[in-house]
Amino acid sequence: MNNSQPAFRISRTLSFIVLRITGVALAFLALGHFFLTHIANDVAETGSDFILARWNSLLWIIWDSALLICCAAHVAAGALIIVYDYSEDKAKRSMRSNVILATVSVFLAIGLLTLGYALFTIYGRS
Amino acid sequence: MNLLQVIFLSLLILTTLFILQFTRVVLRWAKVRDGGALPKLNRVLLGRTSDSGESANWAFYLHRLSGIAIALFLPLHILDVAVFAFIPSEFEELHAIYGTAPMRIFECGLLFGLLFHSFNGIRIILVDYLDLSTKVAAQTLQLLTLTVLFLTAWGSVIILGPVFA
Repeated sequence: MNNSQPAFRISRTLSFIVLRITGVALAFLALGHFFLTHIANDVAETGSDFILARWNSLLWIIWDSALLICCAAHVAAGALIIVYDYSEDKAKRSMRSNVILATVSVFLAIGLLTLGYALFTIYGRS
Repeated sequence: MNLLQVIFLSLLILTTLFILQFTRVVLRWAKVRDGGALPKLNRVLLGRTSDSGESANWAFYLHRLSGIAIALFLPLHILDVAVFAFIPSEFEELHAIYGTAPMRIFECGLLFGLLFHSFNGIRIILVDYLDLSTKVAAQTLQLLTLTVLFLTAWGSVIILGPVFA
């Protein structure tokens, strides 16, 4: 009965490589994003106008897309390593891995749809 | 308060509870695996001993906990930007939460987590690839701690500024 399998097998080694590569990227992307929205500008002034002005520039569209994708990969890899560390048995490990991958996929999809739809409304009406 | 603000705040409270719960899990495993996240403190204060000596375990656990905390905040942030795209008329009111005093304090915590997690991550990579000795690695951690605390204090002054203005 107890034959549950993870939907995808992702080894510790792969998680480790993904963590390091996206980690270096995120150190710049995430800190840069926080600096821009909380230090260089006050957070109260980063409403719709701020986002619209930013997404008029290709640099920030690429920045935000890269940030989103790297975050998703980094969170998935990091969470999998924690699950491998702390799960008592294989069945729990598989179940938790699946929950993590499903949750990260859902939020990555919402993020990508958001970016896509916002860009469509900004640029698609010309 | 409108409905979206109530949902956002409920999710924020849920997120905080999750962070506390995961903190308990990580600290419990730390106790099982290597005498707690702060073996030296445990030994001095509680008379407990550990087998793993008193290396910089706290940095490992703070890295893990800051990572979990930031990761749990991300769904909220993804959802509020989704509101910007799909329900633009509601976004300004929802976004106003970020400018309130309690949320600004939360953002200072987020800044600390981001700074520590980023810098410590880069430090770990450097220690690995430059093959730094235990002593030098400990020194880089001291330097990192000072830098992170200084930058967090500087950033917090700027973030909290409008509260006192």
